[in-house]
Amino acid sequence: MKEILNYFLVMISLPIIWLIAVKCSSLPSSVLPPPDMVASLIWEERANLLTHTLATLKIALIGYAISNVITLALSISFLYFRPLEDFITPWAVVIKNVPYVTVASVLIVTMGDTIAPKLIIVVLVTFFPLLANLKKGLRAVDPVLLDRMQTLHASRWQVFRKVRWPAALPYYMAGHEIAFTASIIGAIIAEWFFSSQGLGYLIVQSITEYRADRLYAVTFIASTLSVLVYIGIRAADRHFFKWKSDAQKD
Amino acid sequence: MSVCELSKNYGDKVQALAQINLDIAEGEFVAFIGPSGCGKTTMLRILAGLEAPSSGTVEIFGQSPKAACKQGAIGVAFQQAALVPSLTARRNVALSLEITGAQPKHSVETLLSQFGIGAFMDSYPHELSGGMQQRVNIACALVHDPKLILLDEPFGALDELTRESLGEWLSGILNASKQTGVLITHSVDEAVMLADRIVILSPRPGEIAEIVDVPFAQPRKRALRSQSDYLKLVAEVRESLYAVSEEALR
Repeated sequence: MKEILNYFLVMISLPIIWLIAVKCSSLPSSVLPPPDMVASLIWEERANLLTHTLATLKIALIGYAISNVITLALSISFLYFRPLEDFITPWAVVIKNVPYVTVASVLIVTMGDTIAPKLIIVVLVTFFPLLANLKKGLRAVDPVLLDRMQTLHASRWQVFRKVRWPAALPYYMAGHEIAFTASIIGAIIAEWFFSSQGLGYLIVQSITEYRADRLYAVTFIASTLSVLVYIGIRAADRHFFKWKSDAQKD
Repeated sequence: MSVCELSKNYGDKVQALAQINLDIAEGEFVAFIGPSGCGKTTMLRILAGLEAPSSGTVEIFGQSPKAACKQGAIGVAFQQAALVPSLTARRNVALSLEITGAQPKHSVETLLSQFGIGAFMDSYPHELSGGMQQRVNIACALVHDPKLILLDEPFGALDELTRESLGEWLSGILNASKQTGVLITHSVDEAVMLADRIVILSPRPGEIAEIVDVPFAQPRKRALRSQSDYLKLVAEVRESLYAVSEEALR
């Protein structure tokens, strides 16, 4: 509850700070539009903004789903087949450290304005934090618990389902906190380069048309989406992991 | 249970156990006691099938420890409670039944009530005190009705009063179940209170220095602690422990 209240405080404070900045600076509204101007634009262009927001969300969600499938497959394979981890990890590290902007450019040049390069960017942005967390979580099992399972002659599947997976879930959720919000940013980056729809496309369009009000509107929508996703994950974490101690929750 | 010429080495330099020979009769309760690092826990891990001896044999009801585990014949309670954090006390105990496929004499609920956890069955491990966690831990080890119960300093992390009270409680539980048992402990009091025989191990490499019979009838009650025979036996065991420790230092 306290956490939600803090976010609410941010939501109230931001327009006030914004308004103060507008009043204090001598910048014209074409450069720094006041919040009411941005709010009216959001209302007037709501249908258009909704279409572009849904386009971005579609890319983010599909890319994120693919990222999760890859992460689950890899982290479980790593657990039971160590040589695969030794082989894949350097590749994952290299791919993670190549600048996404460069990769995005190359992909767009190669594949054109299709959904594929955008999805690849989202996957690249999100898969590493998910993989790192889930991999760690699956191994973060109390060794005494594994001993107990062994003395009960538990099967590998029973150990996974009853011990490893529940132990990994909080780590997986921590990965979602970072990666799910990053999927939206990843989708926007991908659309930025070459696209005819989405929030990234709107940003480029607003810059070329000198529409600071729309640029701020898009920024507001993208940020709100990311924050809502983050709050949603936190709420799910608290709801589904009641068994965690207060120290673990923090 | 029969242990014959058992030795355990870790690499070339560390010899944890040497030439252990011991027979434990069905229904007998034996405590292993000795200074830190004498191989007590290694002994228990070998009996539980968690580690293999370097040489020698262990037979539990005519079969290897691993084969005994496969048949659900062994229950182990570790020093640190081996409870799945995401499961309630009731579901943690039920997990042992689910994995072994055993049909319990009493329901999980009845067992937990007998163990004084009736009101906390639906609490998660982190919501239980250390003493309660250990009761659940022991319930997990006993619920599938194993022929052999192995206890590795189950009350080692608890304060003295809780430890004494749980020791008395365990004496009653074990006497009622008539199971064969092995207790690893640092506490002379605990050994005398619970065991039919006490095996004193010498410092590394752990060898049987002395076996002391405990003549008091089971189950043992608190009043026994103030009786002169009890105090005398505790003093004798303590003297033997000092003797083996000092012998090793010389």
